[in-house]
Amino acid sequence: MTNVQIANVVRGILLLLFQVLVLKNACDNVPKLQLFLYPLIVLQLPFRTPHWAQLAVGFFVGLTIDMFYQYMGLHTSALVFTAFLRHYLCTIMEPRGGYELDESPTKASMGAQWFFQFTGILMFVHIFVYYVLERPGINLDVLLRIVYGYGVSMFLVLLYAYLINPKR
Amino acid sequence: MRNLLLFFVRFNGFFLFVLLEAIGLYLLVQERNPKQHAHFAATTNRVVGFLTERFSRVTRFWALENENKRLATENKQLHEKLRSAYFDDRVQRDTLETDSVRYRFVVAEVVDNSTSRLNNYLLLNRGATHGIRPNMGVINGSGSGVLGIVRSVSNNFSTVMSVLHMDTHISAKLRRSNFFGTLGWDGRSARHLVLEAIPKHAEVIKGDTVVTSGFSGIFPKDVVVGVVDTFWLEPGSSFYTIGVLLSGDMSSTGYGFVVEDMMEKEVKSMVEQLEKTDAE
Repeated sequence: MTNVQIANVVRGILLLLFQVLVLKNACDNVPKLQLFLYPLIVLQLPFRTPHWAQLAVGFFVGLTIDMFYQYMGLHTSALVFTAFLRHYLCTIMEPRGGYELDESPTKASMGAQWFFQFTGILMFVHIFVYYVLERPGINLDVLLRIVYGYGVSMFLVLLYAYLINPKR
Repeated sequence: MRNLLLFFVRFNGFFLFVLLEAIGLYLLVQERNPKQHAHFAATTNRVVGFLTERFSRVTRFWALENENKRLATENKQLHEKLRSAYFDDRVQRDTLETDSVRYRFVVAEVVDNSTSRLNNYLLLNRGATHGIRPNMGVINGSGSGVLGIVRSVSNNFSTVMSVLHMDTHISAKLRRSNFFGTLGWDGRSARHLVLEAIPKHAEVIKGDTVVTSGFSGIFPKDVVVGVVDTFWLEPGSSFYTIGVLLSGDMSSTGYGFVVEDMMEKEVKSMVEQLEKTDAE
């Protein structure tokens, strides 16, 4: 395995543990709020990761999260869908001159604006699909959950980008 | 044939997506089916339960102070219930008094809990080896109220469908007037449940205590669930919709009592007999 692959595996495992052991119960006292940081495992994969590999990572990460949340299929479906769209978003948002070898969609490599656009879109897709699948049908309650979950999760992404992964 | 293969290779991402998404949605649909949930959960409970319990030992440390306070109040309540705390003025004992006990309780620690989702579950560190079976009720050990109903068990852990799960329904009644209905959750607030099917002619007062009816044998009767907070009649309906304020806080639960109905078989066979004669 190359350094990049090892770094991705380590990041994946750490994010996964942080999600299921800390974030999962972090805001149990706040009604309607749930935190999502695990989509970053898929979102932060290197650009040259083949589409099938992104989908496979999404599937297995989703399945693991499902086991810990005792809700089979929910995170899996949402994350596989997110991984599917990620591939096309990468193509759409490709800068002139293309991506560099081994580059990942981080703030350091792509710039803050690009990073937050990219992550913001896909996090929203993920959280939206998640809540729509949890209880089919949209009402005010579900919309509130989406807004809360998205807002606070993006704040976590911000912290992640500036504290954990600054590089610049 | 070659072209067909090339077609699949060219669009491998899309086909894999369809396949994986189909598996995910299949699992999701199965999840909604209560019997299947037990199947999956029993296999995952072991690993997940182990990890979560280890970690909750760390976090439990910060909750110890509150837990102590709760235990002290509970001790006080238990002391008040001791026979020595009563003045015994009975002249004559019942001649038919027997020692048959209907319900037994297994104390279990809540190692995982959630309240912020639409379908919430708890994880208890007691399982099949401790005599826990699916469909047993769980009473809140810290404070009052009910926690939920056991949905699946592995050897050492059990998954409990929280009362804050949109598919949980519990038979409950108003203590003052004895009218009974079904208690469920509408997913809105983690402090409130909804009591339905109380007929229009019943007298409902804000503050009425809501207790379990004990009809299904899942819970003993008269376990306090909460008090009537709001109630209204939907237009055209002949039943009240009642908002029940929970008396226990679902987001701070340390342990629970799993209810074992010692007469479950007897009651069940009676019901089956009835259904058989009805069918004839």
